[in-house]
Amino acid sequence: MGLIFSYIAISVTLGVFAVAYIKSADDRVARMADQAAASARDGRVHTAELRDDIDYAPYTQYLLIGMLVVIVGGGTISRVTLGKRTIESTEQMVADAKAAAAGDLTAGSKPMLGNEYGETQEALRGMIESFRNIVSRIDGAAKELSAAASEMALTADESGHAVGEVAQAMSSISEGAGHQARLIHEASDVLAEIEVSIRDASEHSREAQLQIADTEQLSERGVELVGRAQQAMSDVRDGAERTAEAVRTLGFKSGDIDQIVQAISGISAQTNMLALNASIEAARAGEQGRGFANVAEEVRLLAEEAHNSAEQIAALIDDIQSQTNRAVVEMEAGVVRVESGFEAINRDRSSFAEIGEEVHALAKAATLVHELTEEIAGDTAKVREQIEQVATVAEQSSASTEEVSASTQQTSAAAQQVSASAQRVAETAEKLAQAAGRFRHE
Amino acid sequence: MSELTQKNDDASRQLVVFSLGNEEYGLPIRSVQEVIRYQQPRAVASSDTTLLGVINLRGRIVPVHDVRAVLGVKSTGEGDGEKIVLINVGNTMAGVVVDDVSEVLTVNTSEFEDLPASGNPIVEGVVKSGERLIILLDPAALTGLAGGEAGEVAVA
Repeated sequence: MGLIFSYIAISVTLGVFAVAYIKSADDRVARMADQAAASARDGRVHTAELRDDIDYAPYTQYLLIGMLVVIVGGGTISRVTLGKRTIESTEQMVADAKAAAAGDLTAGSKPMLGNEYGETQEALRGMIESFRNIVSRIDGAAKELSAAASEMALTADESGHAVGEVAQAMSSISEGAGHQARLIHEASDVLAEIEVSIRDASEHSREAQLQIADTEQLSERGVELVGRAQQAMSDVRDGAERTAEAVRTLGFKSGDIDQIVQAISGISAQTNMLALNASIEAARAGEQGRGFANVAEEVRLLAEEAHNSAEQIAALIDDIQSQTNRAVVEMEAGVVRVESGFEAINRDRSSFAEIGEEVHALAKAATLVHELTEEIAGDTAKVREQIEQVATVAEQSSASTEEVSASTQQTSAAAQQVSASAQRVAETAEKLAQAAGRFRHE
Repeated sequence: MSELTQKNDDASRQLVVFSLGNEEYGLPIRSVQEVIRYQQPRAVASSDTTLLGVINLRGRIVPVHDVRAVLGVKSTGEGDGEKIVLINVGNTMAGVVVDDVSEVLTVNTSEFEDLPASGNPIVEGVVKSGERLIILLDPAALTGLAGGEAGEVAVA
């Protein structure tokens, strides 16, 4: 009895221990599943814990072997102490335990007896079943873990590729940014040259403005001078017209004089004839008429003299008239010339006025050009400053891009490390699956 | 001729000198009534071709002759200075149209010369006065141009 008791005590202790172990195994499997999920989530494998858990598996075998020894020992004891059924039950339990030990977790017979053997058999069956469940879950978890790790390795590889591409792109961006910075510097230099040219243009336009102002003054003076010349011409024209009028009047007057002279000539001719008749009468009177004849002859001579003088005057008057006629003709021609001169001056004046207006417009335009060039010069300076700022920014962005490129290269390396780690996780999961595969649980 | 010889005792004689064209003619002053300005004669029907017509001289009708036609001198055209010399021989008066009457000239009888070659009874002789040559005309012959008929006209 003492033997049976000690056997029972050992069996119970082992059973309790086994239950405790199964419980802990269950917890571990749950934790492993959590860790696998976590690994899949943050891409990092907690290999150390897994390894611990997996290394824990062989103890299960030792436990089972221990239990087998106890059961075999118990069987021997039962064969001695219990009857045939007890022995059969025990043998069945032994067979079950052997099968379990061999890895077949599908075994586990129903209790044949209602006593402690039956309970033990039931407990064994429950234990094997629980164990089967655990192994089945470990296997599933290991498979899932393996798949997740493989996927992660793939993802890490892909992201490594992607990051490598990013690094390449960044490198070319950096190169581009450098090129851009150089171009902007060149643009800034060109702009500086343009600025110098614009300053020159501004100075030239200033000079043009001054010269145009001089020209404007000159044209204004021209207008004034032409105005004075016009006034003088006008005076000359008026004077010439008055003179022509005076000469014409003179011509008319000499015509009057001619008439008077003709009258004198006629009177002298008549006087001459009267003197002749007087002479004839005196001759008829004979001696008494001699004195009278002398007087008549004197009168006749006077009349003749008067006639000659009148003829001279008439000739002079003729001369004067032809001269005054010529003077009038000349004067009229002069008036015509003065008139055309007047018109020419008028044209000159209007030309000068037009020139003045045009020069004025030119002056305005030149002022505008000057202002515009000044404005452009100012704007160009501002643009140059801004371009220099842009160049600085481009240099900074080039440097930053280089930094980013370096970082991406580091990231790429990290991704490769992650890939390697995931590979290792996958291998570990494989081992776990193999360990679980030793047990038949399906 | 008879008149010249009659006045031969006088040392000098007075002539009324007139011109026709470029020539100068003279008439004895006693035969000249007066000189008047030219006036257009009224034409009258007459067989005398030298008769220009008649003029009214202060109520007296006087025949006027064209002396140019008588002397064969060509007309110089109607000048302004044309005059009519009225000649009076006896009771007969007649006018002759001349270009101009220039003066009353006193000449010595020694300067008179006969001009028998002319054959014209009107020309009595020629007078040389210095460089001038003055053709002396016979007033009676001049007034009797129409063969004494003029006297009748004048009377009428």
